[in-house]
Amino acid sequence: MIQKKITVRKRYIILLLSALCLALLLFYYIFLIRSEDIIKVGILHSLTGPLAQYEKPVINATMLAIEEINKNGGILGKKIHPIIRDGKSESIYFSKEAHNLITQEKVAVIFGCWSSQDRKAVKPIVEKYNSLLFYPVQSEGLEDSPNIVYTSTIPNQQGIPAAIWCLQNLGKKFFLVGSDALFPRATNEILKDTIALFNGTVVAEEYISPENKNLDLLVQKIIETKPQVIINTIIGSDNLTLFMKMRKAGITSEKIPTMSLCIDESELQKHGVEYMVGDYSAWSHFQSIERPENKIFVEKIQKKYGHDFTISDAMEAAYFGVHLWIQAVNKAQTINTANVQTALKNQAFDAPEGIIHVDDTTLHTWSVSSIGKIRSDKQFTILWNSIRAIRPMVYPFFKTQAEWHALLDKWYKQWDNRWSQK
Amino acid sequence: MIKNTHHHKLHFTFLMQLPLYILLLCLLSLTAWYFYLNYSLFPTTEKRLQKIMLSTERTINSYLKTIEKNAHALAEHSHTKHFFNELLSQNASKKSLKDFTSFILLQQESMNFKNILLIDEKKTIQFSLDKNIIHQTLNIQDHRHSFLGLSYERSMMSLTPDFSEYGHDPLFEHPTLFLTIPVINNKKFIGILAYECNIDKIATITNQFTGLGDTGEIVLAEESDAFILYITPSRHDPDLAFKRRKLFSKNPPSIQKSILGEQGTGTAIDYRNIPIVGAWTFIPKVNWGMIVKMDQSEVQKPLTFILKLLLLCIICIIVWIIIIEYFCHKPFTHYIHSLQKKPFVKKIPSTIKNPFFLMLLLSCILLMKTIISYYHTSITTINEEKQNIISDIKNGAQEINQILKKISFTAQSIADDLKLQRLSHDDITKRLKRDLSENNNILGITIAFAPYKYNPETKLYAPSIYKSDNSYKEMMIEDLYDYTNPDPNNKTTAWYRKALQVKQVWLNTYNMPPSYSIAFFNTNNELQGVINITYKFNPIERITAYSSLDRKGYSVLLSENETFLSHPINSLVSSEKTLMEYAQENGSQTLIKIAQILSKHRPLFASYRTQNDPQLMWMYAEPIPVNNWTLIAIFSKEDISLTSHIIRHHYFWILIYSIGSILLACAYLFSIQKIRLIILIIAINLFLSLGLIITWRIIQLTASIKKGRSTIVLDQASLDKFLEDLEAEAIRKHESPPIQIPCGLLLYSLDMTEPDHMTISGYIWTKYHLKNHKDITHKIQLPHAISLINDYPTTSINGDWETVTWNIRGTIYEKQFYSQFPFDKQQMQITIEHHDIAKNIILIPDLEDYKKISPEETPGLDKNFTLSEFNIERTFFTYKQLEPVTNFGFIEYGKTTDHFQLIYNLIITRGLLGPFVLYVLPLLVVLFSLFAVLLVSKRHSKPLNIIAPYTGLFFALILLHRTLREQYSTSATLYIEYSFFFTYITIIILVIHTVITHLYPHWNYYQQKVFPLAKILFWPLQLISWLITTFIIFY
Repeated sequence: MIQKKITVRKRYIILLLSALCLALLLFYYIFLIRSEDIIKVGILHSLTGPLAQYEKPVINATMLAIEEINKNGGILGKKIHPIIRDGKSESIYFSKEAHNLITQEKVAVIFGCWSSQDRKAVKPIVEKYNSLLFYPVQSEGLEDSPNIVYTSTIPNQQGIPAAIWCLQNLGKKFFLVGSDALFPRATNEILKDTIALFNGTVVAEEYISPENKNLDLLVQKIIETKPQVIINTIIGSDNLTLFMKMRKAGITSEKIPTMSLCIDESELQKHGVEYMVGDYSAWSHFQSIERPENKIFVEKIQKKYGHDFTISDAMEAAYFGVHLWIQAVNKAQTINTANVQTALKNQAFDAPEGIIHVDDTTLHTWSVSSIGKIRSDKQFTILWNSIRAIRPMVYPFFKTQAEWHALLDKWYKQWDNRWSQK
Repeated sequence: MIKNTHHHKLHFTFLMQLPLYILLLCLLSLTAWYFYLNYSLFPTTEKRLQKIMLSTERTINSYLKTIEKNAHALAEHSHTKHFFNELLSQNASKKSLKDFTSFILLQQESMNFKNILLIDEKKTIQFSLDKNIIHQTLNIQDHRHSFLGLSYERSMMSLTPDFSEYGHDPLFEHPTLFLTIPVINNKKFIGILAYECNIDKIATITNQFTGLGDTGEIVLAEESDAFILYITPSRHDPDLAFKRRKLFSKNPPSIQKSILGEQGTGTAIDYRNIPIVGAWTFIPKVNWGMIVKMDQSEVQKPLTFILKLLLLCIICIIVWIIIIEYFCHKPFTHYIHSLQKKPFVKKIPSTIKNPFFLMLLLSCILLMKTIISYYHTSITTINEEKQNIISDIKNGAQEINQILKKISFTAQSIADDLKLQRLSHDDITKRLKRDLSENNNILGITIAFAPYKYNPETKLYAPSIYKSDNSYKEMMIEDLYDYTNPDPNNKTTAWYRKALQVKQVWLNTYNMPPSYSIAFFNTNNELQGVINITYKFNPIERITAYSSLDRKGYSVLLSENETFLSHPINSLVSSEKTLMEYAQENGSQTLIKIAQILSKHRPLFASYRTQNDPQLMWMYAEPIPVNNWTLIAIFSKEDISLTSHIIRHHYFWILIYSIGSILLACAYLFSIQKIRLIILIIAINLFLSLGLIITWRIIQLTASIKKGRSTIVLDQASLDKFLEDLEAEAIRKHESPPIQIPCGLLLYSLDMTEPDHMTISGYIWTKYHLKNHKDITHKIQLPHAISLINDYPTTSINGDWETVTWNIRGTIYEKQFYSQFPFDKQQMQITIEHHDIAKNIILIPDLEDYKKISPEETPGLDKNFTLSEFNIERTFFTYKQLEPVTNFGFIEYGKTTDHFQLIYNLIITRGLLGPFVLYVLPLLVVLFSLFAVLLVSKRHSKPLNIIAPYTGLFFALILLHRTLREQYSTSATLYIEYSFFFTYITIIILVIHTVITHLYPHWNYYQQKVFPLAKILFWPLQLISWLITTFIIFY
């Protein structure tokens, strides 16, 4: 009888232990395995505010790359989980959201930022927490950070080839016009030296800001100074107003051609093209580049977001930025920033624009440079292409690194400790 | 005692079984080891190769960094800047030149560069250690897109150092790799310093094979114009450097991934098409791809060794089982018997237990699997090829669309600007010049104003700018003719007239430059005039032709009204015939329907037959949206289906399994006593004979000739492509392109008098341009001729061309391959070359003079041409590169220039009737006679009475064999000879049988069992031997 009781008790104990084991396994699966099943990445762009219209397509391109990777099984056996945060078109929000993404969401990397001001605001955050930022927009250079991968162009990959092309094909008298912000100021500073290098002259340099937006006066000055080429670094919708006023004043692309460094396909789509046809732009990527890789990229985007969806340089840079990070993680076999930073060096990718790669010292990409002419179908005809990627020259040799930094400090102070005029 | 004996027996059995257990254990361990190695061998090797790759990459990168450092030091050196300035201001004295040269030479010793160039802003070389290139400019057409020219441009445009591509540069007579670096002096760009790197160091790095076994090597390559260009020589191919292979080809070599920027490890095929294991990476500074690799066969050597051990183990187990069976009272047989007695085995139906049934089932399953596999492979291949063709044509159409779209955009943009007055009349010339400079495909632009629309005082005004060499020329069309002439038959003014009618028009009149015209209006939509753009048609024609070059079909381009714009038959283009007219001429109703559907400008996949060519043709048409032209690919199913070799493999296996199944079915029926032995024997012989006949038919249907290393010319497009590649290669090597002399051939007769000789008669003609070829000897030669009579040539002049015709008769050396006789297929070749082939003269097939150039139409053969014993299949021209094994005493001979011989090919297949009557039939008679003697021979027959007929038949056979050998003397064994050998063996066996019967008449086992069996198996053994030999030889 006693023996029987012991046997029954034994059975209960075994049953209980089994149930406990099962419960533990279930808990492990739900809370441990599932939480480890994804890798969080941050996407930091403006969803609201004036810059949202430019940044939303970049989010789309980033998401497309992430979807592609997840479709192919993810990375290190895990899916990528994107967390999108709104920069609200203001640097302060970019900085705040970057902080949140890194400290609260614990993202492995951030893809995002739009203007140089935003990037400058996020830089100290990613450096403080040793995280990574993939920045997909063209910039003025004059900066490098082990925590930022600059996937778009800097002046020697965009502005300098554009200016030299103009010197060779359009004329030697330049009129520089731009928004009163860091990118136009710094780029024009570099372009002035470049133009002088080839015996060209800058007849005038003008900046517009929300406070000082007299475009009629600007056009009048263009007429008076009689330049042969205008280099335009105006950001945003002011471009359309300027072109309209120039055409009204009889400044056609035949008389004084304009080389723009901030007008891409999405700008043409938004603002209308009739006042810009025949003028020029310089980018790494144009939607009309005739490479099989580009055709596939364009097809993918348009299949997902509609056949009228236009593709800009920043979208392409955002797309291959994700792929570069994935390749580096694959190589490092971890998402640890230090390891990924090492693996990122010399990481190459057959991007739509051509084969690009990350510079092993500056983390800027070697990008292809192209010059395009604006067509009436809101696309560009490619007139010149470097064929191979051009190495980034972060600090152009016209000044020392210290001199460039001093100049940046001067502007920063001039703009009341901001990176652009209010 | 009994117990003890039993115990001993058990002990003995156990001892005998012990090795079996050990062997089984070995088998298990080896299998486990095999699977472990199978999964771990490649990953381990990949890791090892990756380590070597990383180390090599570091060494190469470090060398490139040293080059950058050196070049930078030189460009920044005050001596360089000072001397460069002196050169630019033309103040450089001889002394300063000497000083600077000494300075550079001094640096060369430490920096190990090949040359230093100083190139000014106008791209003129101002200084070089090689004095021959000083004052050469990179600005001329040939050099602008050279590797140095492109690198100069990148470096100057970005103001950063740049590595050029590595390869032959037109300026230099050797391969070059440059680092170009801008030289800035006093804040002015003064030029570029080009540092020519010494690549030998890199070749030394990649020629290290430590840790790479017997087959491992390091290969470097780069992308060059959609080709993979190999950079350094490799272990397996010392001539690999500068060999090219198309990127994105069907079977891309492993290096392709690395060239496109990928890093990784894995298995792939290499440039030799051999499977390899490798680790690859991209070297970004120079855009090179690198792979460190080993042949899979070497990596898998341990696996092969284990497999051999496994096999040995299995054999040992089988042998040991037999030994145990014999020595230990058949334990396994007893076990099987005991198993059969078990009730659950008894329940199994006897049919399933029948071994013939089981084998029949297995054979049928294998047969089904082979048939399904064949159809699956066949359908997959055809579908893949179809998709490739569709994709090629779609890409081609897209490319053409892009070219035409750019042209239409240019015109539209001018029209819009004129309409909105963004383009003033004063700026027209400036604008047209700029548009011309920005589009290479545009030849000229005209803006023709409607009467009095330019201004009320001027009736006609039509400024026109066109490209002439490197400059732009202006002219006024109204000075040449009245473009408003309304005459509908006037072709010169059609561009203006038709543009007014339909607003925009694409005109393609034969022998006139194609043009696009668009009417332009003012803001009130009042007609102002017409913009006309003339453009190059060559790029479009090239895309059309090249869209089909990788396969046997061809491509056609149709205009909007379905006129042939591009077709391999030029007369269809020159006569401006439409597809409908062509279809009606050919009387093909399907083609007429196709022409009707195509007029709707939609993609179309269809098939049709023409009266002239009963073969079923497939076509895919893709419209070009911008102007409704249509690009079409035309091909036959045979062109894209499996190769005859693969088809033969499949057919052979299907046949093997079919024969096997039928024979097993017969055996099964016999085993269950459904048929008698005689029926079984007859059925086996019948099916084996049928199998042999089917095998021969398969061989006949799938006969092919192995392709040698030659370029086949099937039509004008493939000839153009070959010549274009030749010219590109010549430009790359800085040589003049070959002089092309058209050459044709017409054969009256051909006779294969001896095994290695053929006698021919006919005509060969060559055409010489009266002006361009006046210094060229009017002679040709047939290098393989043993004796040749070529009478005095007749000459005739037609326009600018002089035709020289030779009547030729003679004997030519031509090796023929008889090893597959009588199923052999021969490729007869007549090699023709110009007398002065070494002077860079190439003969090109005069395709225009042949009415039909399709190989099946046998161009080059007279109407009455016949060849005894053979059927003529097709004729065509090929080119073969002359690869002399000697330099003929001239040191420079063949060093750079490639010489090509023109070869006329005649593919012939042997008629089977002759060999069958001459050899197969007598052989069968001999075999029947042998069988008859065997049948009638008895146990007590006199041996000599039986051996005598055998001897007689043997002599008859020898005579027949000798005749065969005399006629087809070759060192190899002929296919038909194997049947002779089998008959010899049969005769020997029969003689031995006769002797045994005579010597041992009372050996009952032999007389009652072996003798009848020999009679039964006589024909099946003969037939099976024939079948197996046939399968082995023709597989």
